[in-house]
Amino acid sequence: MRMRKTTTVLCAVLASSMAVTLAACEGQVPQVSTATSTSQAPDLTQSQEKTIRGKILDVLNQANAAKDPSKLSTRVTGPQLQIRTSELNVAKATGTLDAKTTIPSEIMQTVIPTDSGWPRSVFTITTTTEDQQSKRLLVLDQDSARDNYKLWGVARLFPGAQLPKFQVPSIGSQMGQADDSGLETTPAQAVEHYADVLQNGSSSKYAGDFAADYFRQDLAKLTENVQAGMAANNGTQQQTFSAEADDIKVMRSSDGGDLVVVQINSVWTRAAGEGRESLPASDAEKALFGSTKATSTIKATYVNVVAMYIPAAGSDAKIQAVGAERQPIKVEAV
Amino acid sequence: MSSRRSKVMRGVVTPILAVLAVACIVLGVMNATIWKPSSDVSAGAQLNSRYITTDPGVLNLVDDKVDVTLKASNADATVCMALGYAQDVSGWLAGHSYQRITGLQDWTVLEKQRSTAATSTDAGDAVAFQDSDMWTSVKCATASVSMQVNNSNDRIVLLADTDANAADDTQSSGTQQLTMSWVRTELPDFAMPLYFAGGLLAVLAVMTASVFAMEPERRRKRIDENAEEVQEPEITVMQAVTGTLSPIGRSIRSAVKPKPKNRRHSRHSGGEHDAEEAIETVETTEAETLGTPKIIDTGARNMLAAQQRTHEHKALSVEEPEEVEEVEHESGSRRRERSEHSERRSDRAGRTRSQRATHTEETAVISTDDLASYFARLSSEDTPADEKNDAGDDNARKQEQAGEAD
Repeated sequence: MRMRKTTTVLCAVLASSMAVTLAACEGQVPQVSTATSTSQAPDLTQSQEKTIRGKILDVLNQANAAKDPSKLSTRVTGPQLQIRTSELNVAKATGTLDAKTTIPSEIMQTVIPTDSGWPRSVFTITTTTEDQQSKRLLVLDQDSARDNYKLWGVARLFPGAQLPKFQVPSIGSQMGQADDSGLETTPAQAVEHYADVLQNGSSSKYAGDFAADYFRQDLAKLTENVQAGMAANNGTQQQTFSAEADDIKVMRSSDGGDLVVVQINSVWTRAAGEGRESLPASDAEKALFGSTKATSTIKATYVNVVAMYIPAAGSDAKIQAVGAERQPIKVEAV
Repeated sequence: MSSRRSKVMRGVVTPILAVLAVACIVLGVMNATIWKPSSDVSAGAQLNSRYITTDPGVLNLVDDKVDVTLKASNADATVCMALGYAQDVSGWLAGHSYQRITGLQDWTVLEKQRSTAATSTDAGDAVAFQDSDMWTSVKCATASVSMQVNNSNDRIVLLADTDANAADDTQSSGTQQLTMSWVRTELPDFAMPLYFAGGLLAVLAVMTASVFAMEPERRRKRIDENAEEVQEPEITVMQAVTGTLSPIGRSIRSAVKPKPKNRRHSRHSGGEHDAEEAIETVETTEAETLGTPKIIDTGARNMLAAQQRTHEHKALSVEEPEEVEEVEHESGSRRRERSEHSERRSDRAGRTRSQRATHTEETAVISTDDLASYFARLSSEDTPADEKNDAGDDNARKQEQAGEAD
């Protein structure tokens, strides 16, 4: 009797299981898992970065070939647009493009942010050029989702410059802000202080905050030479620097500091002594000055791009400029 | 009674089970062939928004590979489709209304939902949809576009613009048909469980026709018999264990056991009697142990042999040749019956001597009976020590003499 009962139960179970399997002939409809990962991921892959950089270099090369800056704006923006436009204008006047304008197509490293908002910046460090010029730090900037990445700034890295370490592109780095704390100074303050140091040299009260760099040295030497010449002719010269602190590009390094790229505008006014004319001080200035009638005073407007590393607070390292670019964009007689 | 039970089992239950088994197997075959779930899953949806996007995880919902086709109602419209990260897509859609594909409603219908993205940033010189840097891949065509996506990344989503060349804020008025087709690589297998159930039922049918049709009493008896058969090797194992432990256990027992016994028996008997009893118990355990001669711990025996070797070797070697001789005698008598008796004798004597010589070295080649007697002697020598030892020696000496005389 018990045997028959168990058999009956078994049959019932089998029958019902068969009914279930027959009903669900196609299987259950898969469901989208609601748990979306919140982990940060890089905004671009390395191959995307390469493609974007390729498109930018294409635009630059076309402009170089035609010596025509008019088409640059599709892929170039910010200080680099001003600098490259000036460089192409100089090239148009002199017939040759300055060697410093070369941007290698091979890269050493790219730093891709993980930030989901806009604007976004990608920092890319190229190799040295074929003629052994130093590496370039490229800042590619995307202003909004409906814009494309554009070349915002180029800084030629100083020979032997030590760049901080960044996360590998497959992990992605975090973009910094102009008011980042936890550093020696905030990036916004640092760039203003650096402009002050450029203007006042070693007499600046911030001079001690910054380690020595080639850009400051060269600029001081140039100013000294010009000063000597001007003084012989009873002339005067003055150079003012102002940082564009509200449009700086910051990338957080994996060792706690920030790599900052900033545009610093400078105006160099030189007044010659009585009865004399002030003339352009370099080939680039001359090309930009063109055939304008010279007067006793000349005003040259420069765009400088400076890359500097601000170490984390508590570090005994000083703020270190690691690369720079400088180009006159306008030279006029006043 | 017995006939009724087997009648019910064999006449009713077994056929039912057999029929069920056959049904299961037939259903299994059907599920594996004509009812097999389709590997092609194609789901569609009618949409009326300019922008269409999928939720993260929808593209690889059924399989990593998916064919997506979007057909716009406007035959002149440029229809574009792109793959991008969810965050970039939502950035692109900022300030626009769009429709989301959120999953599968059933196997043929896509689930959709209308959404409007929050505030847009100004799009002054916006790039065209197909020119954006953000997409990992993009495809455009007139009126209809299809794209093959092979993606396992949950972050990647699809974004479609059904009128890519129109101004940013243009809204679509037509109806778009979106189809997503997957090819399932992993199909649900409904046949295997049915085959399994069929097999199980078949086994049950056989059992109801045989074992379960039997009277419970008879079956139980048989099971008991089986149980005994099964238990036998267990006893052997037990014996093996005791056999291994007894040489060690004996010394412990001889040291521990006599004490309580002494107290108990001292009322009516003397110490001599106690000693005899102790020997008896040891001997009985010996007998049990020696029932299985093949399992002998060589380590344990060597321990004893090391202690006793000097006066025991002779006794052993004496007994051994007798058996060898017997075997020899049997085979010999069969083969060469007509050979001379004296010749054989001298030959045998020579062999015995050589055997004796080898036996002093390798004590492992001992017959079961010899070993039993040896252990018996050994145990008897263990407790009364000197007296028994001497007796054993005398005994061995006598046997040796007898062997030599032979």
